[in-house]
Amino acid sequence: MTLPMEMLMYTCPKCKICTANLHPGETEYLKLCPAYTRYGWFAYAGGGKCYLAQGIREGVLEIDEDLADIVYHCTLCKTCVQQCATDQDPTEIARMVRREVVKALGGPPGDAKIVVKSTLNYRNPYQQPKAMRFRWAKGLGIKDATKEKVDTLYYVGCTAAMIPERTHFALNTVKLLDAAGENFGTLGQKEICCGSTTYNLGVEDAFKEVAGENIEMLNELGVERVLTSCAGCYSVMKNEYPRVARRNFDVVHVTEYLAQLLDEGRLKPSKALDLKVTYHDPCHLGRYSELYDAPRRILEAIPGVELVEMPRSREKSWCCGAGAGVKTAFPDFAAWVGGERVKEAAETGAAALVSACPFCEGNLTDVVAATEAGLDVYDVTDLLVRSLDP
Amino acid sequence: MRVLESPLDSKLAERATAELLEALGEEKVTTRRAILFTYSGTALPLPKTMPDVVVRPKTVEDVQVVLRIADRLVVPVTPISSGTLEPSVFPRAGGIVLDMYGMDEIVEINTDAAYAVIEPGVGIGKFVRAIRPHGFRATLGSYPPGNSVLGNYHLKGHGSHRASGIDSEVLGLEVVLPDGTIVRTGSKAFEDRYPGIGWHAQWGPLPDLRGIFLNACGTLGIITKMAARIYALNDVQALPVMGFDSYGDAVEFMKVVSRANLVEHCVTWHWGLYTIMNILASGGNVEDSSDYLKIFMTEPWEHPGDRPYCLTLNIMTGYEDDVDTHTRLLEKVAKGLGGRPMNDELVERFPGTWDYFKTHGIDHEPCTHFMKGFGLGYGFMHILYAEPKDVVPLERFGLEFIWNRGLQYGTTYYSHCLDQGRSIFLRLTPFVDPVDEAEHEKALSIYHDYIEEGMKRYGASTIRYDGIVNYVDRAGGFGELLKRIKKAIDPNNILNPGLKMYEGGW
Repeated sequence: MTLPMEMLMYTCPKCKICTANLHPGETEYLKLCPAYTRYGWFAYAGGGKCYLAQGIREGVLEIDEDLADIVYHCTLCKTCVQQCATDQDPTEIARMVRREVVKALGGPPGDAKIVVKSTLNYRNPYQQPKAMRFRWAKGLGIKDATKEKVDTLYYVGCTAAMIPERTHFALNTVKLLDAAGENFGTLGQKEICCGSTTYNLGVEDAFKEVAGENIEMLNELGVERVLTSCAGCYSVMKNEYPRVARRNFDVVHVTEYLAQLLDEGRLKPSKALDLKVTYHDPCHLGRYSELYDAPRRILEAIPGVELVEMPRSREKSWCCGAGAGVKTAFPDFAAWVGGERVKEAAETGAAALVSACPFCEGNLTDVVAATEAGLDVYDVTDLLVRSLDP
Repeated sequence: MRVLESPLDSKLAERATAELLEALGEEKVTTRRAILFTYSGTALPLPKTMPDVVVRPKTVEDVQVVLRIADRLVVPVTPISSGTLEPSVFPRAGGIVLDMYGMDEIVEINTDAAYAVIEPGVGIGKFVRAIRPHGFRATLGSYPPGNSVLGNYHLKGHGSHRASGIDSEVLGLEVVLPDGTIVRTGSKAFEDRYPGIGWHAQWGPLPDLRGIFLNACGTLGIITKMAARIYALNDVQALPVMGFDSYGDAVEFMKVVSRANLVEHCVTWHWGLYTIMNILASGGNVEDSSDYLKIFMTEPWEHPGDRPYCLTLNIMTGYEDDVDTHTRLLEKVAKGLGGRPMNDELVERFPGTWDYFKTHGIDHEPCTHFMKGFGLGYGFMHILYAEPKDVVPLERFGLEFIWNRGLQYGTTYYSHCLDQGRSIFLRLTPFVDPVDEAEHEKALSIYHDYIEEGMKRYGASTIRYDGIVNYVDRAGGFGELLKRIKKAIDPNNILNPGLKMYEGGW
């Protein structure tokens, strides 16, 4: 096996800075790595992944189900990259090891295989027929961007389009864009998965297949701006698509665009909500894309909303637990990670935990329901819509 | 890197594992090969050995359970805390690795008596954040902030914040012996009979046994708690830096000012090291820097011309008036020795270096600035202590010795003034490509030759026991006593036997 990052994987000094906020100037010690915090063995930490890669490279470790179990018990939340002081990229090394696992074992562990198969067969990870993709929009009269020219293409994403409990993301976005008088449309049933899940699962061929298809379709339509609800779609389109093919469109997250519409006065929230909230930074918006302020600016613009921060926020945000195939392959671990987040949110005294990603919202909602934490879970757009309603 | 399989009989390993699993459960005991591999050695590029099982104790009772099983079955036990850069904690004999990083409680912060009691898994970053709100700081070394405080202090890590008259940060220890006996040292030895007693005194009415566990690398007992000195954050923090054109002048300066009680601690940095730090801490890429090339193309004992040969950092805290007066006196002493104050010049010309010095010496924060340098590979621990008259020629000898042996990268150093200049610590730092095994072999050979020559020619003493050179047999009666102590405490030789501290090389 030839590993392209072999120099880097040997520079980890096992200092465990990848697991907590230990940089100069920090005032409070916070555990940040979900897998290391939960399991405690160094192999689960970001630095540990570098050592696993060394072991594989040197032929000491075989790629087997057990090694896969460790490497896939990681949400790829990128906190290790954020913290590492040696310019190490343990998340990319973990992804690289995942790709080797896929080659050696024929796919990711457990039910994550189904996600890959579904993405390839149905062009969504949920084994849903194509016809389901646009059902949420029935009767809304949304423009078909494949047939008429629009300024903004709203790329809904599989979760907001196909999971009934998450379609409010799409419905809110449409309402808000309408309210702002935006000329927008969607791809309707022609929309396909962005490839984020296959990318993070290490199934590179599948990722390149769907990413390439998306890039070609969107380039051909000549759209300038693609708006996404999902942090995963946003991150993979923005950060990973350019290495697959030339991308001729900008990728913008809904919160970025809504913050801009608020600044321009095209949206005017007026109804006070009287709600104390805390905001959860999705990893793919925050650490992957450095988008921290826009969601907060929206919340701050809503009358009656008081935003209180959790100790682990922004660059130091604790993951929701759902990402990178963890919720599918290891639901108990996903629930534990989400549970830690919900506890932290509840400790702020907020009545609601707000985020900006349907995937995060899904896991956090499940955890709240299971633990009776007494918190409501919202998307940023839920609150903005309520504030605009007469 | 060479990775050896465990030499332990596999049936014995299986039996030990079964008993450990039954006693402690799967959460704390694992034989998963991928996990074992990450405990097969430290981050140093030295040969590794797979352990048979890793245990992650959470309590002192867990440690007792492990040691009783291991002692009965005669299975090696190697304790590791952070497992970063020390050569002393490789499980060369296989068996059990105790991952002590899971015991991570700060048990007590005693602001009245100025000490804190911590477990082995408390990293220095966590520690300083816990004591700062109480108005205290800790002794810091230039090691990553996740590193175990206990691991460092126990190995006599020479942090940059000690009061110069104090030779150890350790007030007391709690140690578990192979038969499960719990030992507490100093005043705390009497806890069972006098439950109110604290850790404040390192000696009681009996001999001071604390020392036999320090620098013993887990060969005489497993340390489960440490009472460490902490220091008040006084009104003012200051860090006057003086530049000198020779190491000899800097050593003389450190000796004078520490004996006059003008500083809490002083340390000298060679021009190569402070220049590298400027590049690293400024966010630069060392390999693109002309300064970087200069460091590795210039013979390190040569004066760099456009900057002082070395800088001496003087850590001071106290009342403002005292600090001001002491700073003026430092400048006077420095000028008398041909040196000069460097703070303004540092800020202007070497802002990265100054940022590192300030973070470390004024903010009392563990630093990460230097960690990008790990991309060059790790510095081996070429540490020697020598008396002031000997350390000056040793510095020149060491720089020439390493340079002439032809390592790919250059060599630089820092040097602490210890115990008011009774002993001067000199750590040379050659860097080694992390994936070049031939270079590692060469570096290791240079390392041992240098230590041997330093001891022979300059009356120097080393500190790190690395399992390669047999110091016990060179230590005369002391070595004999140590062997007897080892036999009495650990008759089955289960505690870190892979280090072979008592038996010669490996």
